[in-house]
Amino acid sequence: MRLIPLILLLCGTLAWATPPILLSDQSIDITTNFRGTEIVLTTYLETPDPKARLVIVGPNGTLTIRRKERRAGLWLNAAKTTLDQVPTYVALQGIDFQQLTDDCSRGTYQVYTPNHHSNLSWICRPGFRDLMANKGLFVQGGSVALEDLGQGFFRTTAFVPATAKPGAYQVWFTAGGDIASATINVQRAGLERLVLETAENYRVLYGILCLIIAALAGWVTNLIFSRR
Amino acid sequence: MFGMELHFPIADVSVSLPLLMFLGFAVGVLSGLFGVGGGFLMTPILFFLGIPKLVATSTEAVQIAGSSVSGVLGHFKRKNVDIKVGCFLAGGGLIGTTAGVFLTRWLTSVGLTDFVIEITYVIFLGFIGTVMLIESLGSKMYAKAPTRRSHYHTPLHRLPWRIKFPRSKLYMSGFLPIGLGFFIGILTALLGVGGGFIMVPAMIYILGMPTLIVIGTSLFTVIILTASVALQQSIVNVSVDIVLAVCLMVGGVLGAQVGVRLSSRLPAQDLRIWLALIVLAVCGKLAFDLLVYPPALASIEVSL
Repeated sequence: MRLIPLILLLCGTLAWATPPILLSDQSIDITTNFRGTEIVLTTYLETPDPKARLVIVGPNGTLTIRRKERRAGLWLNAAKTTLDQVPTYVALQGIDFQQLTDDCSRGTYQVYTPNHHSNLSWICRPGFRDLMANKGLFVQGGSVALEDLGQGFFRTTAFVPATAKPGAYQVWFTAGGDIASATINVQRAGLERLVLETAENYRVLYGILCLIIAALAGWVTNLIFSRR
Repeated sequence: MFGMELHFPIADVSVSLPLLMFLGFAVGVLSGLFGVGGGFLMTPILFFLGIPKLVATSTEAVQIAGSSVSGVLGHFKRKNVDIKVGCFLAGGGLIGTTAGVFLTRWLTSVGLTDFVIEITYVIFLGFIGTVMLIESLGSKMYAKAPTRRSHYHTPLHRLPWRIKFPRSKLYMSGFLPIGLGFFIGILTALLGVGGGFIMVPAMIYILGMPTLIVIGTSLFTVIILTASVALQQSIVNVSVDIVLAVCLMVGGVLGAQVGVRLSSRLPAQDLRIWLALIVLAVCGKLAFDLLVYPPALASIEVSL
């Protein structure tokens, strides 16, 4: 397994809050492999806050839900619901389900993502939420797991699966009444990136390479097994 | 499930690697044991694992091309390939695969790819499963059937444009192998199968080729047709996942060797009924999803 650690710069608004909360440009590490991207956030806190919140919102895109309906005895794709320009990934940690539904009914869920202008409304629609959760693109948990590193430093980890779209991911961390935010750039890496880019941009070459690999594999198999 | 999930770049799905290798191996064992290609089982299994239909059929074409190369080399050594018939089959097949690839592209644009692939599979697997079942139940009857001549001619051979095929000792209309190739080509593009199961009996009973050279000639044709599908799908639909194909090839190659060794120890003809039942079970699952209750009533697609 090859890990490609990337230290990414913090852009965007960075609330240089006075302690108890500190987030610096070296406090977020992301590691991308074939499973996805691991985001490790290290922060200084005077006291661990059980109400700490970690919110991550992915790049905007289009979500299309297709529902199957029975027509002439067959289950076919029928109704289609499309949302344009909405986040393609949302993780809410430290916000329990009750809180989420309350905030949804009051329309106050925007507080999770201050200074952010995308339309988050699908997190309040159970149909979208469940389908996105099945793909690992919606994560919701009651508390943020803070690992005590000693001397007031804490670490927490979030995971963006490989099925998530690459692009700018906005991170908000709230603890002790302070909030810090950062933008990280999640990209595909290694073999996966190479395969995707070749397949998209050099289609003929990619097709021929696939066939060469297949033919070589067949030929080698024949060499190995026909000598016995 | 089963840990070690691997994300496949073109399919854009994560699947457990051990599970995938195991299934590739299992289908490989069956194909080695029964001398079948296995594409008609592997592709539906990929559907069940959540691989998009078009990626499953296109990627399976690459795998079949690879395993057929391995198979055809031995037949070339023994000169059991009628290259002339093979070229006529492949000629019709290339037209068929091109038609099939553009059919899938059009179906995608109207949102019907999945449905058409599923329903064609139900018909195809239902047909070959039933034929296999009848054949395996009545295999003793077949054994008593009188041996026929190594090659023979039918009225179809007298269609216009008659050509000599010396290796097969046939004098038949060129339209016959071209037409058969065309039909197999469409199946290869649409279903991600080699089509050997249809092509081999058709070569024996319709073209009247000698049984000895049928398998080698069929593999020769399958390589050209699957290669054509893989290349065209890469260019037209970007639906070949090479990472997935390599994983399937590794499992399939090892499984096929185990299957070939087992076939000399086990009464493969008596076990053929199990292959028929597996094929009918896969057909039943696809039909159930289509007719009774789909595994997911709603699906979501995310794009940038």
